[in-house]
Amino acid sequence: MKHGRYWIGGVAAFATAIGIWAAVGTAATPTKHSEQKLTKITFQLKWVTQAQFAGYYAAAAKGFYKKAGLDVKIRVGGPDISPEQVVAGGQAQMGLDWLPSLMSARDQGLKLINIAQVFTRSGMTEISWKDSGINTIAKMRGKKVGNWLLGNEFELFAALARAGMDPVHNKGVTIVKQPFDMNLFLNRQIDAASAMTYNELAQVLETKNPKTGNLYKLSQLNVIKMSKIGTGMLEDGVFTTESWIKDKKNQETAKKFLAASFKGWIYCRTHLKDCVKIVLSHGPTLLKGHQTWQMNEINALIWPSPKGIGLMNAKDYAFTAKTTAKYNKLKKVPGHEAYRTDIAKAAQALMKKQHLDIYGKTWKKANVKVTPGGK
Amino acid sequence: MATMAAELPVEPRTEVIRRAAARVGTSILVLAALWGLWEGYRWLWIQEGWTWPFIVNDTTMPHLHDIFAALWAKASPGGVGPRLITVLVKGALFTAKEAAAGFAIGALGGFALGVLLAHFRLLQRGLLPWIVASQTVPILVVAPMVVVWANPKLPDSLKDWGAVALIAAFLTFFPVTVNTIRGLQSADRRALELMRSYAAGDWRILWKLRFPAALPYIFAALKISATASVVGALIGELPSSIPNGLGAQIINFSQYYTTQPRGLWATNVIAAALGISFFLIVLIAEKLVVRRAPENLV
Repeated sequence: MKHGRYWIGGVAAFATAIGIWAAVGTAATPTKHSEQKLTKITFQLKWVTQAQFAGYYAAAAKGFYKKAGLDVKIRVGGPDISPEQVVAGGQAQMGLDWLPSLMSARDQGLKLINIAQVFTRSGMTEISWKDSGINTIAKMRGKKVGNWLLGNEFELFAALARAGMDPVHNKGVTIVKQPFDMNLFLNRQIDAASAMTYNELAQVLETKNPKTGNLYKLSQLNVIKMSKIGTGMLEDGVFTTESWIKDKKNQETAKKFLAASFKGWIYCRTHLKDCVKIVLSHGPTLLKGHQTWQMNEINALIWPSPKGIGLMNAKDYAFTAKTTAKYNKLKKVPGHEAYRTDIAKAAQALMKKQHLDIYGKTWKKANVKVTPGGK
Repeated sequence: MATMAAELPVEPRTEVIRRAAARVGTSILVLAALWGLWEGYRWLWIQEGWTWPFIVNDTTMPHLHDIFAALWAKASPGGVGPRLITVLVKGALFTAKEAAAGFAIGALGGFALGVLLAHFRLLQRGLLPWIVASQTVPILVVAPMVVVWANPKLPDSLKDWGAVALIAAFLTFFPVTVNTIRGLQSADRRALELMRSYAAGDWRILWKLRFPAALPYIFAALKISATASVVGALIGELPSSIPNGLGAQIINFSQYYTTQPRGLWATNVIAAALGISFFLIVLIAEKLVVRRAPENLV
């Protein structure tokens, strides 16, 4: 009898387990597909939701994708996600990543190709405290210089090498691996730190100096922009696989996707606050102040766009290729085969027909005030 | 049994209440001591300006009450939008779904494997080392592979989170398998011989004798697995591009740690609470099923 009770109990326990399984299985019933005419595509972002990707979120929120006949699923990135791997593996048709990452993936044999260079200029800076006197790359000699490494270091390394140091072998300068946050720099454990204009720089300015109780000010920092000193490389660009884009039908889809995405970026150029709101709706824990700063700085990386948004600048491409090949030890310097401009050009033509300004020549950076803690 | 029970002195009601109060009191004391330890450490390090092993300030070690206040505050400042705790609990529920599914798959699969291996000695000797080896492979390596393999084959309703459940299952099944084998073999020899002498088949012996004997072992394993499944789900979320779970919040808050240190701590609190609730559910199930859990087990 006693054993019988155990028996029932055991079965009950496992039945509950199965019950949970069944319940959660049915809880996630598939969303209905009422709009079957839309072409379904998945787009893989480089990182988690933030204003860096506002143009794509805006294109979705404002219905630009839908109007173009597309049903776009935007997949967020993260530290363990390589957009190149996701796209090469077929889990997304197109992806977004920095050009050097794409070149490195190609060098390892992935047949990927850039179809639009969205960011015109680099957002990478190296910052130091003004009172340290390190206001040029040359003055970093013998100092502790931070970078995230893992493929983010090429611009900095090129700049240091040009000033006669050997960052690869820690000769003349000490390279320190920097975490995502800026604590090493704030605690002065490193002399200079890498900071993107749209993220880490703002994080420093949003922090209170514990000694004075006031926010750190831009005037307390030296900000050395890679784009200013001539070692800037090309960052966010849209890529896909060579085989996918071979298909004429997919070329048409890609063209529509680019045109709608660019339209999203044009929208964000003039609707800063609205785009921040759209981004926040996808990331409820993101902070408004920080994202507003980021949106403004991201706009500055795209606009003004001398060749029109999305078109590759061959000279910048060549510099990026040469530098990546050198510091990431590529088998060969990537040539023209790693990108094509026909799809972006077709998208631009489509937009010109809609009387959209793809250059943004008159765009001026907004004056965004830093908020304590990014709030 | 009945006579033995009668010999035990019946506890008066006041005694029961006093013991319960003592237990609650101890828990509160332990919590207070932990709080004191945190705040004391913080105060001492700031006071003395010690920088080893790390500089202590509001960023590296926020006040505990600040962390809980952050949970209650609006996630997005300006008084609009949900509270942080709402966002995090929603994320926790999503992660819980993955973990629960993974736990169910892992527990059932682990148990079935355990039964199989307990009955076929040769199989056990051949397979067990590999099962042990499977757990030495870091889950961080397994996770992206599972996502790449499983995701394209999953139906839309299971996409992304189904792969995460499999990763959670990978961490869950091992303790269950090992303890099932041990438990099934722990059945009383004399009882086994008695069953055999009644010409009971293997199946009948399994369910009437071996399984009840194994239950305490299995529950000991399930308790380990319950928390492991939550860890598996969190790790699995990172390479699977899932924005809804706690994993995404962890990435998000570690990126903004400099300006929002309390957010990461608050997420930690919720993640820990999730793991603890999984453990408690198994504990309650055990109390209901196994009335006589030998205290000397695991």
